[in-house]
Amino acid sequence: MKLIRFLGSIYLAIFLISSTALFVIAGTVLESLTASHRYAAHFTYSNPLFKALLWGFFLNILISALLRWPFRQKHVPFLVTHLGLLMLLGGTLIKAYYGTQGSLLITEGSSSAELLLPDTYSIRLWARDKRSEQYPLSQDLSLSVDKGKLPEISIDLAAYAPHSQVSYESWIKRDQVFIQGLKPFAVHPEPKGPPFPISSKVRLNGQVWDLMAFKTEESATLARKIYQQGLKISGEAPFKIEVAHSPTLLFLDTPENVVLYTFDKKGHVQEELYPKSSPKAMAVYDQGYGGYFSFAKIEKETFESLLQCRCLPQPPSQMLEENIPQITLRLRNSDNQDFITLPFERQATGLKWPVLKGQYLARFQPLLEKIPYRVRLRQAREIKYPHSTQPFSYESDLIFTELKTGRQIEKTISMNNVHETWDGYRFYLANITTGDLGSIKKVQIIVNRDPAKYWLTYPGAFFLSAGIFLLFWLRPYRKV
Amino acid sequence: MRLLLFLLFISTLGAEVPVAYQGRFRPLDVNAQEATLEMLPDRFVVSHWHPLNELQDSKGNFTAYPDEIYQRLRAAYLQGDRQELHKTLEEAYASLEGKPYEEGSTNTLYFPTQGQLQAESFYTRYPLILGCIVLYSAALLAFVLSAKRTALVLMLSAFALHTFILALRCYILGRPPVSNMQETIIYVPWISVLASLLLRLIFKNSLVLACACLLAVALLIILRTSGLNPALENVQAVLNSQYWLTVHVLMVVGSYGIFLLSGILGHFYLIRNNEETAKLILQTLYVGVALLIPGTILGGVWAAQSWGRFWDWDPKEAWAFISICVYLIVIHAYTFHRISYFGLAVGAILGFQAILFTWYGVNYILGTGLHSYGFGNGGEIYYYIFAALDICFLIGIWILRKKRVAKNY
Repeated sequence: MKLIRFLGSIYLAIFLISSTALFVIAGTVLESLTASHRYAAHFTYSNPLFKALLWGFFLNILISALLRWPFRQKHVPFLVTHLGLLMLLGGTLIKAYYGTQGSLLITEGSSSAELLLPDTYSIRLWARDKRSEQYPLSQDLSLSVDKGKLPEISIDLAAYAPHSQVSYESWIKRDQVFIQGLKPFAVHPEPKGPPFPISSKVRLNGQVWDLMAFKTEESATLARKIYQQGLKISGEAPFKIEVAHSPTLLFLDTPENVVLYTFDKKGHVQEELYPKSSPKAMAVYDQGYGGYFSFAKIEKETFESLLQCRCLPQPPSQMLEENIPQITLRLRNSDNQDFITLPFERQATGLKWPVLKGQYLARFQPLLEKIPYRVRLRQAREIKYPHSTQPFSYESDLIFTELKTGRQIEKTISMNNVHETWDGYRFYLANITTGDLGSIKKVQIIVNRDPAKYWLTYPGAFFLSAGIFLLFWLRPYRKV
Repeated sequence: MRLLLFLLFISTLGAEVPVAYQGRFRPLDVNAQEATLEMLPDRFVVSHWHPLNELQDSKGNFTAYPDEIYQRLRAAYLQGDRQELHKTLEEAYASLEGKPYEEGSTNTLYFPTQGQLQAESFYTRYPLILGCIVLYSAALLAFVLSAKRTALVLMLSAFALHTFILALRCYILGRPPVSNMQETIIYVPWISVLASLLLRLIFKNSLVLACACLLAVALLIILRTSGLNPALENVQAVLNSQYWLTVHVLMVVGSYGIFLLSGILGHFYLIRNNEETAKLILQTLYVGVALLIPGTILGGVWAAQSWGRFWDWDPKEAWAFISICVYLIVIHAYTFHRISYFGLAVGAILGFQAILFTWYGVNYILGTGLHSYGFGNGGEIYYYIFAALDICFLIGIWILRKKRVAKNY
């Protein structure tokens, strides 16, 4: 009984309120110092101790109310207030366990029926016969490999890094240049001056082309030097300039890009940039199962090089939102075994990488959850105040198709104007960005379903508010 | 702003041009600034305004004004008839006022009425806030000199002017004036003064009036000297909801006014140990909590409407929660006899600091989270000095109290 009294005591209540407040203060300070809400949440709001405090609240309120049994009229304000609090806490817990919270990322013209669940990880595999399966990866890095729709595959997690630097390699991999159909040739360190070494030669349209490759910090300067070396200047002004060098394909490996120069026989120069941060000029074979290639058109011939993703583990940043985790998987089926390292694709829109000799595609992404609606984005817009850069309204015209019945509803949603379906799914416009495709916009729509909102959370809030009024003014100045 | 210029120009044309100058007006003679004032809304994009000197080109009616008015405008401009131009511009604008010029799916922007334009002109022309400061200061001085009747008259005058300022902003902006830091610094002391007048009616204690005057003077001086943008600003897209702006923000920011008042009362109690003051503190805490908790919960409901989640420990939410915790501890401890009036006063001061941080610190010191529309910078050092002095005050009072208790034993 002593323990029960303690659990419902004012001392415990004050201890719990103070401890929770201290936790929250620490959370806001951490968030301010690191500019990372997730980092702060990791140590505070998502901390088991903090959750224990909230459960402690629940118990304390419940027991302190029950200890007043048998209830009398004077207990009504106390009971109404604390019932409201219990309902609020209960509603939050039910939402956490049985509700839905995620986001849809949709580009203008496209549609989606799968929610990205925040702070989750999974491996998604696609087979050539259109079967697909996702394998959840928990926060403690255990991979749930339920056989599901791809029973022939087994997956093991071979390595993990919480943060990595992701780069895309095509023409140059380590110290060699790879071109489909040609022997790999060497990349030389930055040359001090002429003569510039030729790595290889290739015949193109009846002409022999020199192939050169160098590492450099300044691609334009080195390219100019190499180009000028092949020019012959004679006579007095006006000088006569002749192109004396063979046509050349020059690959320059800079820290950010691979730059491809072509110097043809007539002295024409062409420059093409291949950023390492994102794939460019990409050819996709067999919907990705056949791999991805960077390509370049030279003298009507197409050169291609296999695109690979390279993940270099890095020390994790405190700003957890910016970290790109990487995993290395071992995949096996009856015929093959394959190892692949995948970077985390936060928006689940990056490339799917071929595995097991192109029989499957794989991507490391958040968990996806199907919703009973397909949402198509017709148009998104940001309306600004006249003569100002300040937005007046963000709006999206959407078409909601109920998957079961095929019934369609068109609706424009905007900030403070949501769409709620008959079965409790609510769609909120969270963000509009201009995507990679020029002016085509991409929107983030937050979707949630809170099964307890109308019968527990909101009534609880009402009881709490009403109880406060009763508690303070029904019996002013009378101490319990 | 453009519309304000429009109005000012109209009044300039009408009243301040010397009579001798009239009749000699020619479009090319008019000073360049006037001729380039953009007073002609585009026919198709009405949010785009053309300057007056475009009337010189005979390209047909390119304005949103009716053809007949356009023709008269052009004729007046070309003939250099300033009186006629003035009259016709007024008539032209009357054809637009109250009509939409930017339409969203749920919100629409309308051309302000001439009444709103005149109100804006009046608001920006006269130092109304300064008038409030002077009146509240005079009232405070009268309270100090125990001239209570004079003080009350001065305070009521100040409050009337204060109310007029808020009403004017409401009328001009067409929304509750609580969407940025500058507006809340006007609103918070108004609530404090209103609460003090109500408490004075119930408890017949004039100290609360003096405290409210002190608070109003301090906050309005900060407003005048802090360099906060005094413009009447457009509301941020995320706050563009009359309903929630009224319900949530007025309640929560209103509670700040009450809690700041209780904090000032707390200081006075610790100096004078007056039981009546302690009762006032308790009442202000009750009112403040009754506004803050439901207001914060309603903010959660608004967040669920606007951001798709009820609660996510955003720093503003977190500090509202912390403030609530501070007050709940104080109220619980007092209700269950764990603290006396002294503890209540100390709690009111600690809560006062928590509220200041929730109001100012989250936006100006932490500067993270989703409530970014209120963020700013500046004044941190003054805040730290004030907080440190207040803590020193509490420590000093505590030491004195210890000594007094020891002496009594």
